[in-house]
Amino acid sequence: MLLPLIEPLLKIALLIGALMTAAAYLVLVERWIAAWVQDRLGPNRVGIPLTKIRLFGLGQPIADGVKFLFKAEFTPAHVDKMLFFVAPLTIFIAAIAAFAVIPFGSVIPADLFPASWGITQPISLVVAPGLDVGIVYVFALGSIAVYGVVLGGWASNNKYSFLGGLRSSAQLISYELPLGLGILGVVLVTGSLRLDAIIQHQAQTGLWNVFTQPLGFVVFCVAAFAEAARLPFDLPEAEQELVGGYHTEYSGIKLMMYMVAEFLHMVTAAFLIVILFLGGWHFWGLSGAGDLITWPVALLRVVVLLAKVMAVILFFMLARWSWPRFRYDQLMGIGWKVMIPWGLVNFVVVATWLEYGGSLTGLLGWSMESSLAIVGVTALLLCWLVITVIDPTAVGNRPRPTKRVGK
Amino acid sequence: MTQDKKKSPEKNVAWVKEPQLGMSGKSYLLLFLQGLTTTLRHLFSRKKTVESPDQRHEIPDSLIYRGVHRLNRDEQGRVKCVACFLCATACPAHCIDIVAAESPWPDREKYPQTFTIDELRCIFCGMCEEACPVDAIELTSLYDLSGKSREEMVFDKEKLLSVYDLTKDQEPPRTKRSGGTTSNPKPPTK
Amino acid sequence: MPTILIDNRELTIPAGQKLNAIEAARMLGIKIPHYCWHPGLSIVGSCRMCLVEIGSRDPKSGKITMQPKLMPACNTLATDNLVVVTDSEKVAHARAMVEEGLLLRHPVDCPICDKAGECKLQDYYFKYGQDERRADIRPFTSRRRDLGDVTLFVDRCVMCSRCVRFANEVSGTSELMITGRGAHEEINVVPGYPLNNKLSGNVVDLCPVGALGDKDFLYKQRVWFLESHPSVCTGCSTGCSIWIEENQDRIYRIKPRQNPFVNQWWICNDGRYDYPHVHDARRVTQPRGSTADWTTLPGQLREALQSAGRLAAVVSPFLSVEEAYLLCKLIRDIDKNAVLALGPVPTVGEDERFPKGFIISAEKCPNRRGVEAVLAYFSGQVTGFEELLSEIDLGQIQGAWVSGGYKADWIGLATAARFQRLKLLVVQDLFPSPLMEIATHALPGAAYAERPGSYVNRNDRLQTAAQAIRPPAGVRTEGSLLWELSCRKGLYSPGAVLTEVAREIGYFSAALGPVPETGVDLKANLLAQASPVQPNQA
Repeated sequence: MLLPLIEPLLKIALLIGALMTAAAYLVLVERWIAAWVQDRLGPNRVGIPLTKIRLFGLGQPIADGVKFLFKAEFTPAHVDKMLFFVAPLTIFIAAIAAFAVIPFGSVIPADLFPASWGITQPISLVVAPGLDVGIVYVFALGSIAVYGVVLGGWASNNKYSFLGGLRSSAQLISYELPLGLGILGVVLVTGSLRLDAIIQHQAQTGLWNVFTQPLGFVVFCVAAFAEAARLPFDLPEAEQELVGGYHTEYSGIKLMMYMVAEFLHMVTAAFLIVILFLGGWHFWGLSGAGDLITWPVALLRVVVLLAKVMAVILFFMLARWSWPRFRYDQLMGIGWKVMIPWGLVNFVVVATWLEYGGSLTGLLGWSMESSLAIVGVTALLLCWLVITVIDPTAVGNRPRPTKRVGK
Repeated sequence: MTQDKKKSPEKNVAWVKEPQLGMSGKSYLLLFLQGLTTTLRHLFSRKKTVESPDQRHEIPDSLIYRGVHRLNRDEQGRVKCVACFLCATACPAHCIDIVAAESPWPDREKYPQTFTIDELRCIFCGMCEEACPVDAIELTSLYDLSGKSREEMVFDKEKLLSVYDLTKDQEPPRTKRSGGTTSNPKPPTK
Repeated sequence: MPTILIDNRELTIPAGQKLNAIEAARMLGIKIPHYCWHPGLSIVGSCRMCLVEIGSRDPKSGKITMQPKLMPACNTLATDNLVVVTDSEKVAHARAMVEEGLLLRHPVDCPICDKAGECKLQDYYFKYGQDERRADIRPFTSRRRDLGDVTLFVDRCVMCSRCVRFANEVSGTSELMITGRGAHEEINVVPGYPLNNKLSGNVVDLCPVGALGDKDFLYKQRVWFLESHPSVCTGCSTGCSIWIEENQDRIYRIKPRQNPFVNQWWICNDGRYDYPHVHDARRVTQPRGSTADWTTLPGQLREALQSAGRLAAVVSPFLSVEEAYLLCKLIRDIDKNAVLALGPVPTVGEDERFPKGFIISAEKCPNRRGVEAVLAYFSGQVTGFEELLSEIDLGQIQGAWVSGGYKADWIGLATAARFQRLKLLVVQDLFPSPLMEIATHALPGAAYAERPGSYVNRNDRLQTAAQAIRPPAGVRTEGSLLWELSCRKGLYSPGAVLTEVAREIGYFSAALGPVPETGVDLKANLLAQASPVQPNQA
C-alpha cells in the first residue's frame, strides 16, 4: 500500500541529493576548467578537514557550502521583505522541480528485482514517469524562472538591480521562443511530448535528432545557452561590465539559491540537449534499443546518458572561456532575427518532409530518417549561408562625426 | 583600421572606420572554431601556477622587483636617509610620513626622527626609490607581506631598517651614487 | 615721461616714478634675474646676476649706441632713451657664468636645505644655468653658524649682502657684517653681539638662497607642501599683511605679505612667531553648558538670551569687523537697551619705530578701531569695559555675552568674580579663564587663522584675512555661530556682512565692493588720497 508512495519519495530524495551534490561539484569543475584554460591549477587545496590530505581539492564544494551558510545574510533596509525572500525561492524551486520529468536512464524492469520485494511494475528512472505533457512541463517551469529574476530585481528596490532584472527577463523571454521552436520538429517526428518516448524514438531509428534536424539543434542549443545565462549570453550578470544584475542586493543563502538555480538551469539544459537531440541513453551497439533490458543494459543506459550530459556541461564550461560576450543588441538580434526564423524554417521543413517527403524517399529507397537528415543538413547550410550574406545582426551604432549647425 | 578620409569638423579628431568582417567572420563559424581551439590548447598546456607557500616565487631580477621597502644604512650603520622628503613628495599614494630633525651626528645635518611607510596604502610604484637622492629608500624583492592589523602594516624606521638587515646580503644596495651629504671626500676647511 | 626700449619693446614710464631697469622690465613682463637687489634696500650691485646690455638711443636720429660691457640692471636708472637688451647671447652667457661661479663652492645640499623649492639659486640655475656642471665638486654639508635669532649655513651663502643691508637700514641695528675678502667672504656677527632685533626674522625671507635658516621653521616641513593664505597679523594694531603657510591645518610659518601701505616687505618677530597659540593643547575645544551639542546649542543660546532680561555684550578688539557687527546686532535685536562694551585693550609698552618707518604698536590687538566704530554706530558711544563692570555691580544687567580671542590670560579672578551675579553669561574664548569657569555657556572660540574677516588697523586701513586653516574639531568660529544665531540663511559669508556694514556705517563706506589685497583706507572718503608708493615686488 505504501509502496507506490515510497518509490517517488525515494526518487525525489535521491534526485535532490544528487542534484545538490552535483551542483556543488559542478562549481568545482567549473573552477577547474576556468583555471586550466587560463593556465592555472585551480582549487586543489581543500581536502579532508583537520588533516593534511588534499584530495585534489575535492573538499572545496563542502567548504564553499559551509561558507555560504555561515556568511552574514544581509537584508537591506529598503527592500520588499516578502518578495525579497520569495524571489530566490521561486527560481530555486522551479529549477529543481523541472527534473521531475527528466529521465536519468531508461527503466529497470520489475523482474530484475527479487520477487520478495513485491515490485510488479518496471521502475522508470524518472520521478514522474508517464507524464504526457513532459517537455511542456519543463518549459512551463523554465518560464517561472523569469519571475524569480524580475521579482528579485523589483524586491531589491534598487535601480541597478531593477535594470538588471529587466535586462535579464527581456533576454529570457526572447529566447523562450527559439527554445520552443527548436523542439517543435523533434516533437513532430516523435509524435509525443514525453521525453522517454523521444529517446525511445531516437534509439529505434538509430539516427539521433541532431542528425535529422541540425537546424533545430543549433537553435535549441543557442537558446539553451541564453536561457541558462551562460557565456556568451550572460548579460544578466556580465560580471566584468555591469553591476551584478538582479541579485546585486543578495547575499548569503539567498544568493546561493540563485547561484544553484543558475547551475541547475545549465544542468537542465544539458539534459534536454542530450535527450532531445543527442539520443538520450542510446549509443550504438552499447545500450541496445529494444525493451529487453538486463542489469548491465539498465546501468549502461544511465552511464551513457550521464556521460553525454557531462560532455555537454563541459562544453558549456569551455564555451565560457572561448567566445566573448555578445553585446545586448547582438543578443537580441541573434534571438529575433536569426534563431526564430531558423526555428520556423526547421519546423516547416520537417513538417513538409514528413507530409510529402515519404513518397519521394520511397522512390529512392531511402529510409525516412536518412532522407530527413540530408534535407536537414541542406537546410542548415542554406540558412547559415543566408544569414552570413544578409548579416542581420550588424547595426551601425558607431558614433559618426557630428555636423556643426550653421556651417 | 583605416582612417576616414572625410575631414571631420573637429580638429585633432580622427574618425576610424569600423573594421569590416569578411564572409568567414560574418558566418561566425571560423571565429567559433578559433575560440574553441584556443581554449582547448590552453586546457592541456603546462600550468604556470606557483604553489605558494609550498613553492616560492622565483624573482627573475630582484633589482627591478618592487616589494617591501627598506631603509638603507650607511657604512657606520646609521640610517642613510637625510629626511629630504623627496620620497614623500613623489609618492602618489601619500603613504610616507617623515618627521625630520637635526641629526645627532657631526657630519650630518638632517636626519629622519621618524620615518613611517603605510604599506597598506603603498601602491609599490617605486617612485620613492626613483626620487631618493641618496639611495636610502629601496624596494626589496620581499613580496609576501602580511600582518594581522592595520597598525602592524605601518612600518616605522626600525622596521624598515630591519628589512635592510634582512636583505642586505641577498640584495646589496643597488646603485652607488654619491652618498649625499655623508660621503664628502674632502670636507671644506672650517 | 621717459621712454625706454627693452628688448625692442617701447615702454613709457609714468611721470614721477623712479625705476631701475629691473622694475622697468618687469612692467613689460620681462624678468631680469637678481640676487642682491631688493626694492626695500639700497643698491650694491654685487651679485652681477642682473647684468644686461645697456645703450642709448639718439632721440633725433633714432640711432642706438650700445655700451661694450654689460651693466647691472639694478643700478641703471630708467632714464629717457635708455636701451636695455636682456635676451641676447651675451647676457645669457653672463648669467650662466655667474650661476657657475656661485655654485662652484655651493654645497648643493638641496635635499636637506629648507630653501629648496623657493630658492633663487635653484630657479635661476634651472632657467639660466648651464646644462652641465664643469667643476667636479661633490655635494657636502654646509658649515653652520649661530647668528643669534637665525642660523647661518655659511657655505650656502652667495654674498648678496641683503641681510647685512637690512640690519643696517631697516632694523637699524647693524649686527651683521661681512668678514674676509674675495672667496673667503662670510657673513658674521661680532662675538657677544648676536643678531637679536625685533625684525631679525626678515633676513630669512630676504635671503635668496638657503644660507639663513629660521630656527623656528628649520627642518619642520618642505616648502612645497605648504599652502599660503593671505591674512592679517593680529599681533598689534599695525595690522601687517601676512601669508599664513599651512599644511593639513597646521601652521608652519608666517611670512610677510607685501603691502606698501602698511608693512611694505617686513613683519616683526612677534607677528612671525605668533602662531603657536593656535595649536596650543590648552585651547578650549568643546562647548560647555546646559548641553554640549552644537546641533541644539544655538537654539538654546537664543532662548536663553531672549529670556535673560537686560543684556550686555563685551566685544573683544580681537573680533573682526563682521563678527563685532553680528554680535552687536544680535544683542541689540534681542534687547534694545543692551549695553555694548569694548573688551579690554591689551597694551604693552610704547610703540617701537624703526628707521624706515616700520612700527610695532603698543596696542596688542588688531581691531580696536573697527570695533569702536561698530560700537559707536550701535550705541552712539564707546562703552569701556570698566563702565560695564560697574553697571553689572549695580545689578542693572542680567545677561552678558563676552567674546574673548585673547592670546593670553586677560581677565583676573577678581574681575571675573564681578560677573558672578549675572543670570546668563555666555563666554566664547580661546583659552580657559576664570570667566569661563563661571560662565553658564562656555563656548570654544576660533583663533585668527581659523576665522575669515576684516580688521581695521591703527591707520584706519581695513584689510581682509582669509581663513587659513580649519578650527579644531568641536570649535565653531564666532562668525558662523553669530550668523546662525542671527537666523540668517546659508553659510556664514563675511563678504556679505562687510557689504552690510559698509552700507550702514558711514565709517566703513569705503569698504563697499571688493577689498583689494592691500586693503582699503577708510579715511579715503574723508581725506584726499595721498598718492602711494608704487607697489613693488621683492
